[in-house]
Amino acid sequence: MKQFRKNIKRVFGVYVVMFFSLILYLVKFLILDSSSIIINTYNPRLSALEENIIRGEIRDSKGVVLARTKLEGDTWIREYPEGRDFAHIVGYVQKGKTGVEAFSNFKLLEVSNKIIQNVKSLFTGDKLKGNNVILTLDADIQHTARELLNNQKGAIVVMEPSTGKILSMVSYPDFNPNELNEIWEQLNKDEKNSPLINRATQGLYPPGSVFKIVTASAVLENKEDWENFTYNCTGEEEFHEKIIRCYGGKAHGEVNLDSAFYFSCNTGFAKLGVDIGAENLRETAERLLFNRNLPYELEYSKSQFLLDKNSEDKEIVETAIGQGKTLVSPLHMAMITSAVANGGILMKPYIIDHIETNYGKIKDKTIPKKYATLFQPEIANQIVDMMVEVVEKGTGTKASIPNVLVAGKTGTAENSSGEDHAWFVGFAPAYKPKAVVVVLIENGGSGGSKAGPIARELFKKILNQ
Amino acid sequence: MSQKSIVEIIILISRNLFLLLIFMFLYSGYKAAMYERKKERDMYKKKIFMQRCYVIILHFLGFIILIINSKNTESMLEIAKIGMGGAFFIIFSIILISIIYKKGDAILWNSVFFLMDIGLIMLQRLDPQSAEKQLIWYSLGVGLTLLFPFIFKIILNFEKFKVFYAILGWIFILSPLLFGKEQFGAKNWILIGNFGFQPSEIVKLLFIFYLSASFIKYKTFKDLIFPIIMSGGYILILVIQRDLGGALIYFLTFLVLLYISTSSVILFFGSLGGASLASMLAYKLFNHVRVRVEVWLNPWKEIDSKGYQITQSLFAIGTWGWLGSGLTLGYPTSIPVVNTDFIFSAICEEFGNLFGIGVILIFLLIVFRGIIISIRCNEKFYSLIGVGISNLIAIQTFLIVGGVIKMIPLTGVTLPFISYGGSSAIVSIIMIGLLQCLKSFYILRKEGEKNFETI
Repeated sequence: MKQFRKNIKRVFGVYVVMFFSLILYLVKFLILDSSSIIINTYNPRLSALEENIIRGEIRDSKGVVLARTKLEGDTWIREYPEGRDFAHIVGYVQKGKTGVEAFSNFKLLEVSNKIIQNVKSLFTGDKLKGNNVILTLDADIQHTARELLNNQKGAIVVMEPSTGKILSMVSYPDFNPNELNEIWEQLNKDEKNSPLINRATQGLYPPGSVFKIVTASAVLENKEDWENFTYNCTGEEEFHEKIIRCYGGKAHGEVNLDSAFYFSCNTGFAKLGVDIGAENLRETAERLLFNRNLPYELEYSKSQFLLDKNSEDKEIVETAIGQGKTLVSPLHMAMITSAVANGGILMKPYIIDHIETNYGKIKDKTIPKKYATLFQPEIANQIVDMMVEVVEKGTGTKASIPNVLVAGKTGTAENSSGEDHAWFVGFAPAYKPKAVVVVLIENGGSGGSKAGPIARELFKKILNQ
Repeated sequence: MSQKSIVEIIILISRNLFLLLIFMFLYSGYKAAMYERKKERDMYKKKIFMQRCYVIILHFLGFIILIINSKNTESMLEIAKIGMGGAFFIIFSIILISIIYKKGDAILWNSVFFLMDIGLIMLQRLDPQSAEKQLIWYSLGVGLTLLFPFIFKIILNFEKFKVFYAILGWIFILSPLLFGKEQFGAKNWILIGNFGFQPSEIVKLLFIFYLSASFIKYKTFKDLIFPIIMSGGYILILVIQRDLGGALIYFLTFLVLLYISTSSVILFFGSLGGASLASMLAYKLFNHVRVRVEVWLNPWKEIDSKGYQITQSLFAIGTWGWLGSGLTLGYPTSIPVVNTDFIFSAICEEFGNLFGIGVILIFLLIVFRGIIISIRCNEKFYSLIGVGISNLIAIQTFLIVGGVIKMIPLTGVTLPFISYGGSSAIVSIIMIGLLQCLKSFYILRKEGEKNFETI
């Protein structure tokens, strides 16, 4: 009987463990998982809330209102005072939800101090108000970026490498979110321009020479005698039955890794690609988040890197110089560049800085968080040195500004849609970077002369602030 | 606008009151158990009285909120009717029980009434018609249990009817296969006229009686062969009827009673290993088993079909945070079959998740009192019955709460005392009645009052 009772007590111990695991799981679900799942469009609670609650405002980091709900006649409408410049990133609510409007939907409808607001509305008759969402974006930089893009198809991303804050994100062609209902059909029919697409995050482009950052990293990691590497560039050479030409057919003469990088010498990099091989290049590319999910919470497209050990030899050559089948989004390039600028460490990019309740209380402040080490620190530093030379004496001289050292890399990407895409990725000041800038102009031609000057003006704007 | 605001303010404040009530209830229960141990009779009685007050306050608070939120006078009167009926039921039951079960466990009774009242309020809010019926089931259940003390006085040796339990059990469990009706993918119902009835609920009790009667005779492994065959048979039938939750409950009951009576770790892990093999086989063989597991692993993939129910449940639990939306301000009716299997999600949504945790703790309190009764019981057969019943409540609560929060795959079992349903409500109350009989009559009869610490 004694043993019998002891057994009963043991069984009870198991029940206690089971019940407390239920409680722990519920607590864990509420703290960690619930906020990301309840914004699902299948959750009927959110659309029900919308009828009774004034959606909160979306503001930039300095308080500029990007979206608000106001009474027009006797209907409540969503207004976007900054108009088309923020159309993609802030998103809209009239035809489904996109951008921040979709991502922060619940926060915008969540009512803080519900009891106080209700008491107040007893006297005033006001509707309850949802929380405001404050972004990391800077409206000044955003407007400048949009002006510089100057109605050319493309995208600009500005990021703070030490924190991961996204300061600006522009995409063109865009649309006026205030007129969405009237222009909706027309926007959807416009397949040639696809203005609803956020090119900065959803557009995938061949990287061209900006990919040489990836190749150079793979070389520094895998080719022990890289310092002794020399190559005589004649402007054109055949590798594995694939003819590689330098931009404009220019012969760079004898180059090493450094000068091949800042002159953006295609034949030199093709040779380096052949030397290190497909597998090493793939390993580096995948570590740099090609074919992977990006640490980004709004809508985006995954970048693509198809080269592997079964690929044909000529594909290695093309891939090493950023052509071939590789595709990348401007946002992803901003992440890679940001890691280079930040000693190899990628901070998790974010756009929601904090939530502000109706009574001005700040909550859910985003704390900058390390996402991953993309490069070893020494390698990141070497790439920074090479990127400084690009702007000092290489293809990126048009991005240079007086008294500040700028680091950058240009890209001129061949593609099937016509004229080359112009790329510039870079940061300034080179050794104490405040901002990473990525510029992409679709069919813009030469990266150095088309995208470089835009980056320069943006650097000027940001550093003078 | 302003009248709406007043109602909303009251409901929002009531969330805190409900939370306070459930934790005061738990605290009083804990204190009462302490005083019982220390034999401080007056303090014990005081705490028990406090608990009863909390049940009644809960009842009136809940129904007042439903009344002020009602759409028109007609529905207001309907709600008031059920509210008064419910109040009458609770007060009258408590009085009758304290007369007939003089030596019963009052903490256990109070906990059950607290849960039943949550059930009644929630059902009234979700589906008024089911609340009315549920009140009838509750009354029937309590009415039946009031007869038990007399039965226990007449029949002295329940352990002698092993064969009877076995035969009756088989008759009941096979009945749905012969004239059953399918509901929610499981064919475990029979219809008698308009009255739907789930035989497996009753068989649970017969199963416990059968196993207890068999296991007290345990000397060698030979004595176990027949019970093992019997249990395996039940479980197989339930799997064929697609009642996976039922099958799991039967198996775990078997396992627990086996371990307690034999103390054999080898047998325990042997059965567990056998069951693992069997469930892997079931996973391979039966499509409905695979579907359950897949939906558990990734419900988002088929959110508009197979994953709909569980994701709606997660939205309900996750949207409003710790304090909930407030009674009537949530959207629990978006979850299919919310008033039976998913009632815990509805409670978490409107009363808040802290309240939900309180509900889990009340179940733990019930299991704890059941185990205490079993340990204090001096005869193995009745002790095993007590453990078997406590086990049923524990396992069933774990399976359904774990299922609706997606901790484990969903098995459609009811939440004892709370879920809507005649069979489930009545059998749950009967189980408590049996536990109470174990405490108040059997022990007194066999041992005399002096050997047992009771108040």
